[in-house]
Amino acid sequence: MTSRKGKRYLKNLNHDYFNPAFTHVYVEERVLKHWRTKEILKRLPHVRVIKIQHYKDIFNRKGQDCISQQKSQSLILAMKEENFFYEGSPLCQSFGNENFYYSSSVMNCIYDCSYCYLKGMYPSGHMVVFVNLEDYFHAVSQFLTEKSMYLCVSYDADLTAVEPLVGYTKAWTEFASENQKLKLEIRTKSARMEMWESLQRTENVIYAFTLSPQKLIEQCERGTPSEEARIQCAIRGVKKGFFVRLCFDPMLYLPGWREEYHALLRRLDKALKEADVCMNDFTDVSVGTFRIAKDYLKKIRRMEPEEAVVQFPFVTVGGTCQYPPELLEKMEDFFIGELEKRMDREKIYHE
Amino acid sequence: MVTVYCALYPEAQELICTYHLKKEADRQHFQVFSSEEAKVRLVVTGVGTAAAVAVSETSTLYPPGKTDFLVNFGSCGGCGFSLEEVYLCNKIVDAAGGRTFYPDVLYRHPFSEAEITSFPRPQAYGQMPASLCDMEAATVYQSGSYYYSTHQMVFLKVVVDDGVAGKVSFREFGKQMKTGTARVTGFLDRLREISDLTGGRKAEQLFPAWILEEFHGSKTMQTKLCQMLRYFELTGTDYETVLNGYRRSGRLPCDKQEGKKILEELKSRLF
Repeated sequence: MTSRKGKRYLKNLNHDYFNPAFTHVYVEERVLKHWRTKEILKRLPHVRVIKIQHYKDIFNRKGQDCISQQKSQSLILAMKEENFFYEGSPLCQSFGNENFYYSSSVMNCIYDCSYCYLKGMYPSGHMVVFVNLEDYFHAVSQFLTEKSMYLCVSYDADLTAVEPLVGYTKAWTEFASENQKLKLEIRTKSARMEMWESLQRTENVIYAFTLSPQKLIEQCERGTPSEEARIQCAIRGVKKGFFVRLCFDPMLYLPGWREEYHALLRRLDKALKEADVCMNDFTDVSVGTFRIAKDYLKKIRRMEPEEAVVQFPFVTVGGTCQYPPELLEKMEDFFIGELEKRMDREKIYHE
Repeated sequence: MVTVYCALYPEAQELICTYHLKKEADRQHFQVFSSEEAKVRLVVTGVGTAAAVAVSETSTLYPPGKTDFLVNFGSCGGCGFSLEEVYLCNKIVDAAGGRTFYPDVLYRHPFSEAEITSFPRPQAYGQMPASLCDMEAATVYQSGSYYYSTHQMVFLKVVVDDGVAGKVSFREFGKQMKTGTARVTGFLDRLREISDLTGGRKAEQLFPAWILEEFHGSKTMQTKLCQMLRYFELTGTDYETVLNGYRRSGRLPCDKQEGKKILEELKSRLF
C-alpha cells in the first residue's frame, strides 16, 4: 500500500512561512480615491498597496493555487459595474420567500472550509471587496419599487467575519431598515459577540448562523470559530431581540455522524437552557445535507485530495452531487426528527 | 527543487559557488548547473526574450511539481533606487506587449518590494521609467506561467544601475551581484525548505493500480471504484480485508458483470 506520508497538504508547513492575511492590497486605480477604499486602507496601516487596472487582472489569472492563497490572502478593492444581484440558486433554500436573490459585495471568504463551493467557483483564493456598495443599494432600491425581495448578501463571503475591516453587515442592515419590502439574510460562521452592540435591530434582517459539530469544524472548517462560540453568539443575538436563524446546512457525513450531530444538539440544548432561551425563540432553522454542482466538486477534489469529506463517492442528480438517497434521507430524517422534539415543525425548513 | 534563471553568467556565478552546483554536460542550448543534494538548478538564459526559451526547455525537461519554485534572479536598473539593494517584484510590466503580470507574494521575505518594467532593449539614461527595469522578468513570467502557479514564481532583482552613477564596469557589476547574492541565499534556503515540506501534496494514488484491473470494468466503473477506494483509504476503512474475502471466495478477479455487483456491495459499506 502506498505510504500516506505527508498526506495533509501544507498542514505540516509552518504558518510562519506565509505572510499574514491582507499584507498585500491590490486596488483598482479608479477606486483609489473612493472614500471606502481610504477607510479600509486606514484599518490596514502596514500593507503594501499595488495599483491595478481591473480586479480580474489578479482574480482571474491563470494558474492560481487557491489552497496556498488561502494561507496568505490578499485583498482586492474594486468597483462592481453590473449584476448587483443574481437569482437564488436552486441548491439554496428560499425559506418560502418569493423573489429570492443573492448579492456578492465581497467575493471569497476568510475562512477555509475544505468543502466550500467557493473553491470550485472562483479561480482565486484572494478576496475581492467591491467598494461601491451604494450602487448595490441603488440597484436593489430600483427592484423594490416593483416587487419585494428576499436577498442573501453573505453567500459568496462571510460578511460578518470581515465586519471590522469592511463594515458591510452594518451597512446592509441599515439599508434594510429603510426598505421594508426587502428581507435580508446575513449568513455567517463567525462568532463576533460585539456585533450585536453595533447593529440596529430590524425585523427584516435575519442573521443566520451555520452550526456544525465541533469534530467537523476541526476537520474541515479551518479558521472558523468553535461550535460553542457560534452557539453563544447566536443565543446572544436572540436575547438581544435580533432575528436569528440556525442553519444545520450543510450536514456532512462522517463515520459516527449520528453521534456527532446528536452531541451538537445536546450541547445546544444545554447552552439554551443556561441562557433561558428555547429553540422556538429562533426565527427558524434550516436543515440540508451537503450538495454541490458537479463541476465545482471536480475542481475541489483536485485541490483537496486528502479531504475525505469531498472525496466521498457522491451520486450525481441533474448536475448536482449529493449523498446517495438512502443516506441523505437517513441524515435529514434523523436531524429533523430531533429538531421536532425541540421546536415547532413549521419553523424547520428543509427543501 | 528551486530553479533559478539568470540572464548572465556573472549574475549566476556566486549562486553556483554557494550551492556547489555542477554543470550539466548534456545541455546544448543553455548553460545549466545543478545539485540534487541542494535541490537547486540554475539556468543561464541569455539576455531578453531568450529567457522564455530557457524556461520552456528546462520546464519541459524537468517538469516542475506543485511544490517547486521558479526564481528569476538578476540585475536591474532603477532611477532613485539604492545600488546593490535587492527587490522582490510584485508587479511586472511588459513594455513591448503592454501587459502586466502579478506574481503572488504569499511567503514572508526580507526584501523591499517594487514594480518592474521589462524592455526589449537596454534603456538609455533619462529614459528609465519610475519603476525598476530589466529585460527578462516579463518574458520569464509569461513562459513560467505555463508550468508554475502564480505563487511559485519569484522575481528578485539587484539594482546595479541607478541612472546616476554612470556606466557600470564589469568588475563593479560582479561585486554588486556578489553582494546581492549574499542577500538572497537566506530566502532561497527558505524556498528550498518550503519545497521539501510540502512535497507530499500531490494527489497520489493511495492504492495499487492492479486492484482496478481485477474488476475488468469500463472506464466509468474504474473511476467509481477509484473514488470509493480513495474514500475508504482516507477514512481508514479496511477495504483490503473485504477484497481479500472476495479473492478467497473466487469472486475476484472477475468479469465486468460480476465487477458491477461487487462495486454495489462495496457501496453498501460506505455508510
